[in-house]
Amino acid sequence: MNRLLPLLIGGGLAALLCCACEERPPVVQPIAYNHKAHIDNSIACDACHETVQKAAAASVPTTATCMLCHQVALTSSPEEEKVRWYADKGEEIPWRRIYRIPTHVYFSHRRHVAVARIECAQCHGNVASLTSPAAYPLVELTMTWCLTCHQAHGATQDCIHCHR
Amino acid sequence: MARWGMVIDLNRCTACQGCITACHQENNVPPSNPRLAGQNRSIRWIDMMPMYEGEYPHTAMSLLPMMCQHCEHPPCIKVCPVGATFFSEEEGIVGQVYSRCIGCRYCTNACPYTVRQFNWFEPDVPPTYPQGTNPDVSVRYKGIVEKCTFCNHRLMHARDTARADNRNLLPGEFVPACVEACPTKAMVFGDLEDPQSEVAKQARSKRAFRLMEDLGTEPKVYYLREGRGQ
Amino acid sequence: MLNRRQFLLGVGRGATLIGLAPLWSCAKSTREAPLIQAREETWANSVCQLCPSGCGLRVRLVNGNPVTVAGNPFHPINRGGLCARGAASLQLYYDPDRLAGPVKRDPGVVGGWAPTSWKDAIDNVASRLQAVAFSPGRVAVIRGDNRNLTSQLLGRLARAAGSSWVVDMKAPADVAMEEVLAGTHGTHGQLVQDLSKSTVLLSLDSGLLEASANTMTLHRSFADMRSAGGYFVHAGPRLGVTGAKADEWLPIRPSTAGVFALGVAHMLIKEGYARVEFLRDHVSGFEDWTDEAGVPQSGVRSWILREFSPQRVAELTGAEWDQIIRVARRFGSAERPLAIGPMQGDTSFQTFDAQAVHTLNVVAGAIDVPGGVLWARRAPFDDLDAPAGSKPDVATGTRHSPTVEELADWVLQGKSPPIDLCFVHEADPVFTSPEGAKLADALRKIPFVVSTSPIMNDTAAVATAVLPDSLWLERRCDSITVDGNGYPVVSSSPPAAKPRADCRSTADLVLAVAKSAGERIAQQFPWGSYEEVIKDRVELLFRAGVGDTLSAQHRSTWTQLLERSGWRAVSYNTVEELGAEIDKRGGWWDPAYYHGEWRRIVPGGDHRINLQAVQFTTQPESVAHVEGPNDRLALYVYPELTLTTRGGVSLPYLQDLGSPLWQTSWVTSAEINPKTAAHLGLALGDTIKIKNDRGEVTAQVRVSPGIRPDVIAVQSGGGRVHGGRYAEGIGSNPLRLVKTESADDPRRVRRELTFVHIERVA
Repeated sequence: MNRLLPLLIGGGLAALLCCACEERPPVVQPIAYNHKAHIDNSIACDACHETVQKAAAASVPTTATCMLCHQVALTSSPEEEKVRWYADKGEEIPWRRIYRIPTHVYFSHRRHVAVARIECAQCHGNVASLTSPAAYPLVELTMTWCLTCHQAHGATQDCIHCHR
Repeated sequence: MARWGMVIDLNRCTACQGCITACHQENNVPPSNPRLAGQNRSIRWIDMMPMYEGEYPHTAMSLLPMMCQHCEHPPCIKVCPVGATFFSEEEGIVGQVYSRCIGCRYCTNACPYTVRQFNWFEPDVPPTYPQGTNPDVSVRYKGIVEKCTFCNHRLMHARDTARADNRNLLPGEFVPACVEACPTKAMVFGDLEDPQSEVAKQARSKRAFRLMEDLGTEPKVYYLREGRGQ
Repeated sequence: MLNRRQFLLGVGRGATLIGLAPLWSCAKSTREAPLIQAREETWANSVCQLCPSGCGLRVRLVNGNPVTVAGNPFHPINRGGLCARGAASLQLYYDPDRLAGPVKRDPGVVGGWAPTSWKDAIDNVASRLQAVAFSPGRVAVIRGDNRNLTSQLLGRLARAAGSSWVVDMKAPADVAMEEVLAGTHGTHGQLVQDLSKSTVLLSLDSGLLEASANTMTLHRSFADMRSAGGYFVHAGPRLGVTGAKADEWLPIRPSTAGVFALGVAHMLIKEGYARVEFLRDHVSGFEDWTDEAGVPQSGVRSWILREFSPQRVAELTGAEWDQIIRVARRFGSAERPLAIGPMQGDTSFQTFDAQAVHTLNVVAGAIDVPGGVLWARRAPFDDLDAPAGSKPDVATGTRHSPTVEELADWVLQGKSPPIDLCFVHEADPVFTSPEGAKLADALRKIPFVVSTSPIMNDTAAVATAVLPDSLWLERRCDSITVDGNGYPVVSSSPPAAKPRADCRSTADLVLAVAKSAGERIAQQFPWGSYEEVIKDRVELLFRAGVGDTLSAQHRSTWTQLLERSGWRAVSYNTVEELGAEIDKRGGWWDPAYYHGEWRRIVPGGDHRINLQAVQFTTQPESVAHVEGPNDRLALYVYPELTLTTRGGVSLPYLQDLGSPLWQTSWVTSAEINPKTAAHLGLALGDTIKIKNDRGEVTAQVRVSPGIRPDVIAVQSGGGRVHGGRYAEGIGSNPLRLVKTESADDPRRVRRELTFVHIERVA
């Protein structure tokens, strides 16, 4: 029993440290998409993320949208080849979600982009400078972070407008 | 600023319970089972309240559909220790933040209308059901109190659309699921602050009454007494 | 005792051990982030098939999955509203106990059912059909009371095979009314009670607000009547929801609705409220007359005056005689009185009641007038299963359908010609008929029984093969009905969602079977698919040149004026456009009712309602007196609105709702008067056994001042043996206790007064 006690104490401490870790696993995208290269070619954010002006959720481009330009190889990158591979299979590219909000929150891109005219980079960070996909969100979307901006700009702070 | 309220005409209500199923479908209320029902723990955001009066053979009975009354002075929000329920000054709706609820059930006890429901068990949902959940409403789990929200998720969508079109909400653009489903159009819903709205006009009717008005909760659900004389 | 070193070593070892944990548990957390899924929201129309109303649905789909079922605002039956059953229908779509595909009975397999293919199933049925179709009466169809093309196609199949065994599962009250109408009017047109415009409504044990058919129209018309200041009196043994919404409840004995009606008629005649002009112009058999042989004959008027005085009616019904007089005076002096008789009639119901209520309406002149009984207009095409040569509006003869009890008797008594092949569609007669056990034996005796139920229900459980119908959400669906104003409504919608099982629409099944069952049958089915049948009907609608696609409510008088002047401002120019508009809006209707079309109301003869045609077969003396309270109570079974879906057995939302009068559910409730409960030592929530010589039923006690002391009221809808996890073993079926045997009632229309004993269990 005497020998067991220190084992348990050690185990307990390690477990606490283990559980205290809030690391989310890094997000891996199916294609190492280069935002900077596309933006340098004068492609606006909402050319691909079409629904930001019209709907609550922002969309990612369909394979067909990518194929508008990438039917032929524009670079020698094997990543670009993957686009045509998905298109041949007739599949959508399985993009993974980085910016996540809980299901009990209502957020409308339309309200923030079309009405409030907020720049994408303000909430999503300097995505335009990324040459490969981010593994983690560039900005942590906490409630405090949202409310700070709402307070500063006199937007609603009524709980009911976001919680559902 | 709005004060969303409802008027239910008891001459037109036929107790078909269509409002109840429509609400449960819209708000992902979990289905019940004999065990829960046996313990009176079925979750009903809106329910029929039967009230018998008189003795046989002079029996009379009233059937009232009752949901959260969205009181102007709600007793439930005052007792919540964690701020999981609140009164929206802009909409007049008593809302809930499910992620904050710790399941202490003080609010359930404080509510004089007993319209708050606690999830005593993990919802017993077969694996095929989740595809049919309404994505606009959170799915609650064990240990959380829930109640009627006047379908405020519909209100948010409606406000979003109206704002994008740079106009005010049209009358009837936002109705909760129960009002929409009522086959006899016994329920009228709208902004009580707008004196020209149908709901405000009917709330001023001589037949209008509210439940437990003497408690001072100022509920926003009005009922029109049964009987002749419109 | 440990020293310091040993202690620290121990802590280190423990930490290392736990430190290894991330390797296997957190390794899982490199699971992938969720996919970004576009949320695509679409809307589609459908037509509900959970009851004969046929309400229009609007279905909301997210990424192709239906998430909300709401009402179609254009549809005249429900105008955007939906009853509890319709809104719960999603739970049928996602039901975990739905059959995955067609199955055939196979004793060699565990569970007794083996999957089969559609091709094999169709070939089997078709070859069987071909073999027996040459001799008459070998094929039977048992179908529910939903009015749609599939139902008609099945009837057509039976008739094409030379059989008249087309059993329509209807409420006993509907069957009785058919008989009455066939006698008095010579037709069995569809009646519509125009409640919304009546000023005094008298319910004679009607169960109006518990009715499981035409629910939407009845409830809306009722609400309109109340809003307009109408007065509502409910006379019946049970208060129920109908009585709760009434201005007065008269607790009369069970089985005496007809007697009460004639008591009211007596007062109308005596005090001069009878509509004499109407009776003179449109009715025969009312006044006394002398026949050809010079013998004086007694008319119905003399009989009523002689037999149904208020005192006598009070004695028989248990009402107070002054109540009868007061109600009769209010009824008679009303501008637009209307009487409604029993709508279900599971217990204590006689053809006498249907006849009596109809006679009361005739005496009060409430026939074919606003606020009275209307004869619904029909859609401008024949039913697909109408016998050759019959005209749509004028159905000659008493074309009554056999009852399921008659079929059971025929099979079990080994009568010839024997039934070899039987289809059961949109019905569960083993569960809903009081003779269910006997019917199950009969179905087992029939060599091949096909059920089209999407769930293994009590009837499917004794079938030979279950070939599941697609749900209405998953296929083209239709309904041919009438609305509360008597307007014909034809609803039709394309599939709303993708099928969740390997199922097929029964209409397509029938057509496939017919095509492979030999030339003689195939030639009666010139359509290749259900869609072709629909196109065919749409073309007939187009050619008829009346009506329009569904639209907002508008005044009937305006439409009539336009139609009569030859004006039509319709939303389509070609057949294709009409079809497309119907699919978009939900259907077609003709919103005009023409009063005074006596050739439609009483076709044939002198177009007069013949009150003498159906003999009042039961004399008032034989109406049983029930003395109470004692431990022998009269059984009163009533349908619970939420529990009476056609083929939707496992809907937990509905099982949980139960009755609006009680806060408990998932049990069968029995209402007992407080005095009777005290006498029997019963309290609220006690479990009791209700017994008679036909069996026993378990129920939970509800002590209620809304029931007579000599009656026990039990809700039907519970007690299924099969039907999925949300239905099996829930509740108990009180219909088992009901007596239907009667030598002079081969169709088993009558439901005798049934007596039961109560025994407390817990």
